[in-house]
Amino acid sequence: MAHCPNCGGEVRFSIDSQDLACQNCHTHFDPVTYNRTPESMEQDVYETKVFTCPNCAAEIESTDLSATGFCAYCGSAVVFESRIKQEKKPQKIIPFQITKEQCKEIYLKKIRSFYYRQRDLEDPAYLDRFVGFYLPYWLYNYHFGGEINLKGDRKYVRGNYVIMEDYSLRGKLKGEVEGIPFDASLRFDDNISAVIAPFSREKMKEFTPNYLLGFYSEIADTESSGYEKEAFSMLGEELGRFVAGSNGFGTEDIRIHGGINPYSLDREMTVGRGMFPIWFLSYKKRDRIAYAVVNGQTGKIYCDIPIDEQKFQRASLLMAVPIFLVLNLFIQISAESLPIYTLALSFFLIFLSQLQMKKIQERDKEALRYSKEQKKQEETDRKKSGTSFALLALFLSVAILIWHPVRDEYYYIAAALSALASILSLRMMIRKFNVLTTRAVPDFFEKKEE
Amino acid sequence: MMRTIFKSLLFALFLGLFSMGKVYALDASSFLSSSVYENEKTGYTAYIDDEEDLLSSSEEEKLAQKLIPLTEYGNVAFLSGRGENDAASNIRDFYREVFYGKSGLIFFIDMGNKEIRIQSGGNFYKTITGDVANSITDNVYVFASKGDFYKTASLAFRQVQGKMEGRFIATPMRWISNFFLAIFLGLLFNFTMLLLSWKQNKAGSRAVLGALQPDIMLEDREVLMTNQSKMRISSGSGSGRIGGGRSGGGFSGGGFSGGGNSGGFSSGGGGHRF
Repeated sequence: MAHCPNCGGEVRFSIDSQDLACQNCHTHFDPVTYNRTPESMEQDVYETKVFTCPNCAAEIESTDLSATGFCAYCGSAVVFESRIKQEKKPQKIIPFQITKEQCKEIYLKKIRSFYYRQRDLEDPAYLDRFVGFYLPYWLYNYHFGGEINLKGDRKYVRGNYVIMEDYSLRGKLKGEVEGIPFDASLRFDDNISAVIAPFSREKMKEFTPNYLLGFYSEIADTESSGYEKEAFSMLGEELGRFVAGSNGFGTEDIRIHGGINPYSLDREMTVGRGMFPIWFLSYKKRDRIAYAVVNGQTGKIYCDIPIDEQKFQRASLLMAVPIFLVLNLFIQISAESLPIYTLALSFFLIFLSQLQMKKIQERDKEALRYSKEQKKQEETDRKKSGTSFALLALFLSVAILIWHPVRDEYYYIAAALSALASILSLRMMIRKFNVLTTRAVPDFFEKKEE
Repeated sequence: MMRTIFKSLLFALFLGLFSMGKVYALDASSFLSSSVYENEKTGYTAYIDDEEDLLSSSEEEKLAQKLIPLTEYGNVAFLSGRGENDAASNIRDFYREVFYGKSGLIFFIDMGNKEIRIQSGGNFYKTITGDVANSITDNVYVFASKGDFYKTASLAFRQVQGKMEGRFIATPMRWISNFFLAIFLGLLFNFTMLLLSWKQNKAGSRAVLGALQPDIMLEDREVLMTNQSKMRISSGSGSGRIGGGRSGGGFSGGGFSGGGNSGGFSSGGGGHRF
C-alpha cells in the first residue's frame, strides 16, 4: 500500500483527476514523480503481490491491494493465496479514463437493451463487483520504407465513349506504426479483447507503477512471438488502405490491382509491453459463468447476457396468439399439405440448431481456459443440441407424406406431433443459447502444469 | 399393298385400344333435365343428377328437401359421375357449362377420382369460398369413405346452408394442430430473432490501426498511363425496355381448385379424397 506523506493515508490513482489522491486528506500527487528515486528509475522491475485463486488457479496481481472476495475469473468467493514477485516493467500504460460509476452505467445500458435478460444481472450489489484491471498487451512497433510498384486501371465515360486506361503506379512508401496491441494474457479471452478494442494512443503514458495503485493487473504469460505474424498482417492491410486512399493513389479514381506486399519493404520491428485498463465483472450461476468487460479508456463493452428462459417462453407464447388467429382465420392449409410445411420448418430448425452449435464450437475452440474434463463435458452437452427432436419432427412429416392417407386426422395428428417435437427441440436450443452466452467455470490448474 | 394392309392393321389396333379404355364425361343435358325443384320467387333451380346411382329414390327425395332452401341463393345441385380429368377440372368445366354467369353450387361426387367437391359461383361463392368448401368437404368426406353418400351430401348441404345463414363451421382437428403449430412458430420466430441479434462486434484492423494514428507517407508518387482504349456506346443502349407481359394462370391440384375470374363472374371450389 502507498502511503500519503502528509497523513499516512492510503494513496490511490484517481480517475477523475488523473493523478494520485490520498483517500484520507485528499492531497493530490503527480503519478510520474511520486515516490520516484534515482534507484527506482533505473530498475526495470517493480514489486508486486501475486494472488492465486484456490478455486480456479487464476492469478492476478496488485502493488497495493489485498485480494479478498470474489475471483473475477471463476466468480467464486475465495480467500486468495498470495506471494511477492518482481514484475518486469512494461514501457507504456493507458491510465483509467472511465470511472466505476460510468462503467456501471454503460453496462446497465447494454443489458437493458436486451429484453430477455435475467433480472439479477441488474442487482446493484452485483454491479459493485466490477473490478478495475490492467491488462498486459504486447505492442508491436514497425518502421518501414521501400519502393512500391503497383498496377491499376480507370474506366470513365466521355461523350459517346467508355474510356479504359491502364496505369503503372510507383512511389516510395515509408513510415512508422507504433503499438499494434495484442492481449498478452493467456487467461484473458482473445475474443473479448477483440470486442473491447481499440485502445487509443492519445492517453498513453510512460509506465510507472503508481498508475496501478488501486487496481489489479493481469500477468503477461504469452510469448511476444505468438502475435508477430498477425501484427504484420494488420500492418499490411493498413498499408493497402493507405495506398488506395486519398493520400495514396485514390484521388485519381484508380482501381488498384492486388495489394501491398509488406514483406517487400525494408522494415524494423520492436516489441514493447503496455498495460491497458478494463473493468471486469463475472456472474456465476450454477456451473456457468458470464463476463462483462468494459474498456477502461473508451467504454466499449463486451457482455455475456444469459437469457431468462421463462421470460423468453412467455413472450413466445404471447406471439403464438396472433399466429394462431392468422392460421385459423386467414390461412387455410389443407390437411394434405400440412406435412410439407412441417417438413420445411423442421429443416429450418435443424439448420438453426446446427448454426448455434457451430457458434458454440467456434467459441470453445479458442477457449484455452477449460480443463480436459470440462472440454469433455462441453462435448457431451453439445450432443443435447435439440437436433434429435427436430429430426423426429422431420421423420414424422416425411412418413405421413409417403403414407398419404385419405383421412385428415392422420395429417393433423402428425402435424401436431411434429410441432410438439419441434417445440421440445426449440426448448433445448433455447437452453443451448445460454451455453452460447455463458462459459464453463475456468480451470487454470492444468494450464499451469503445462 | 403390304403397306396398306399394315396401315389398316395399325388403325384397327388403335381403334381397339381406344375402345377398350372407357371414356367418361359429365352429361350437361342429362343434368339440366334432372331438376327437382324450381323456386318461383328467385328463379333458381335444384338438381339431383345421380349418374352413379349412389342414392336410393327415397334418399333423393329427402335430399331434394335439403336443397330447396338453398335455392334462395342460387341454383343448387347434387351430382355424381365420372369425368375425364381430375375432379377439380371436371367440376370446374362442368360448372361453366351449366351455370356459367349464374349463382350456383354443385356438390359433386367423382367416383372416378374418388373425390368429393363443392364448386360454387356468384352469390354462393361470396360465402362458400375455396377455403370454406375445403372445410365442408373435410368435415364430411369420412362418410363418403364409408359409402354413406346420402349422409355425405345431406351434411354438406346442411353446412352450406349454415354458412349461408352466417353460422360457423367447426374444424376442431385443424384448431388443435394449429394450436401446436402456432406455439412452435412463436418460439421459432422469437428464437431466430434472438440468434440473429446475438453478436459481439470485434474491432477490425482498420479500427485498431486507426486508433494508433500511424505515420505513413508516399513520396515520389508516379502515376503513368500505360494503355488507353475507347469503346463507343451504342446509341440504343440504356434506353431499352424490358418487354413482356404477365398473364395469370389457374392452379389446381390436391383436391383444390382456385377461383377463376372471367368477365366479372367468380367461381371456385374445394374438395377432399375419400
